[in-house]
Amino acid sequence: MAPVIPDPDGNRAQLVLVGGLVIAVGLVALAIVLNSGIYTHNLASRADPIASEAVGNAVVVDDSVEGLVEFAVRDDPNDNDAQNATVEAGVPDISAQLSRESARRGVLTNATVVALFPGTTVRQTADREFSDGASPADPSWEVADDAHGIRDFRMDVDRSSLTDRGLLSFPISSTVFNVTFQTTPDDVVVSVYQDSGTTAVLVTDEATGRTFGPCTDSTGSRTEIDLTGATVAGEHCAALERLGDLPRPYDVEFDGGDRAIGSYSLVANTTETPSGTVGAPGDSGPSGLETLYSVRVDVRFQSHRVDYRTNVTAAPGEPDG
Amino acid sequence: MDRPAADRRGVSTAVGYVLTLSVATILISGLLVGLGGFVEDQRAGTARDELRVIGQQIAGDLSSADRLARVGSPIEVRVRRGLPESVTGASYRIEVTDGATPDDPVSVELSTENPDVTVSLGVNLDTPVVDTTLGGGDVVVRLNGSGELEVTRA
Repeated sequence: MAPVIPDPDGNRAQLVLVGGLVIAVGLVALAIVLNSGIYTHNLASRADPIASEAVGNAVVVDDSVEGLVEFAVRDDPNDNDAQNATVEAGVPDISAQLSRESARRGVLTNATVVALFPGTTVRQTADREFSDGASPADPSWEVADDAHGIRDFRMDVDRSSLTDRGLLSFPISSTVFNVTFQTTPDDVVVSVYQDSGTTAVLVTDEATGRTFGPCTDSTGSRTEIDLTGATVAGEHCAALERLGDLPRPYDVEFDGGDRAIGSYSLVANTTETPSGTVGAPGDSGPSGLETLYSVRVDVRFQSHRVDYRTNVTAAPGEPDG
Repeated sequence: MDRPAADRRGVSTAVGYVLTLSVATILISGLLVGLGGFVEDQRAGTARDELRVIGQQIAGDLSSADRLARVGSPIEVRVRRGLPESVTGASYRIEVTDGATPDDPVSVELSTENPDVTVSLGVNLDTPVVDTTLGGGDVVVRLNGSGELEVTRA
């Protein structure tokens, strides 16, 4: 057997050792690179609802203040100062309640009143024509002048009082009861009439001559029409959604008020008195009441990732409000 | 006549050493080259994945800020995001470009030079966006005074 001759310098395994070390370092580098990718994926897959929370907070404030406005108006009808005082006293309570809840999640929130907008309620609680309160009554009259919005516009009509379409000439709006929104450049007209025993609601855009609808109701003998909520007898009416996009300000006029019998109520964002004759608050005929229209609220939201501040306008029953 | 046994053993040992060292050198060189290439490939792949994730995070923040900017009358919108300064040891660039028309998506492009990787994403927004190019690191998506979203360094 051949003898093993030792290397005089003792360096036989140097190359293997260096190679092994380099491979080890390469494997460690590979592990680090792959782990960094896994870590990034892990971070990316974590739920991050902060922006949704900020939007949710603004919406909750909006809804809460809307409820407060409704309460204030119901509690002190026809007293704008008292309504304002109720809202100004209530918003800090809403803010404090929301802050306590959000502080548990490390989020700071705040809500303060920026401005209050007075308006006017025009309503008729008794069943009578949609004419004004003058004697003799004027069937075509301006319900709201220079309004920067309308909210909670509801009417309850007796179907048998409406003009029947079978006898109508074209265009329909010239011979039936209409609610006209006088905007620039042209009006938008909501016609309410009877068609083969059903209540029909038709929207006409005078600028283009196009009509939308009609939305119909054949249940019972009466029909509730929510013009700002876009419903007819509780069913959604897409044609009425156009009223949310009207350029402001505009006038609201009843035309052919003697062609419909029923009750109605609306809140206009204006303090101008209607051109027609309206009675004192409490009258069952057309009457005007001081009503808080809306409240602008400054909403703040601050978390470790999001700083958000916006002004929301709480106007209960306003289209898209 | 036979040569002395000691001479044969000496020759055999020297050749054996040379062969061993040569084979070891070739083997280790091959491993080094192969492993180096593999690590580089993995690095590029990981960089691409990381850039994609970072791009999605920026796109998500743009989308969140866009949503916040459409609630009420916004006065301040700031969405912060902690992002790495580099991906797999290489610095990277973030480029945000608004769509040519309001219907076109906003482009978020992230790129590194070494490894040469570019990742592009699109996000549909209603709020216009300021065209921006910035280096990697923490960013803030904010609503500026002109009603546009802007991505800036935190």
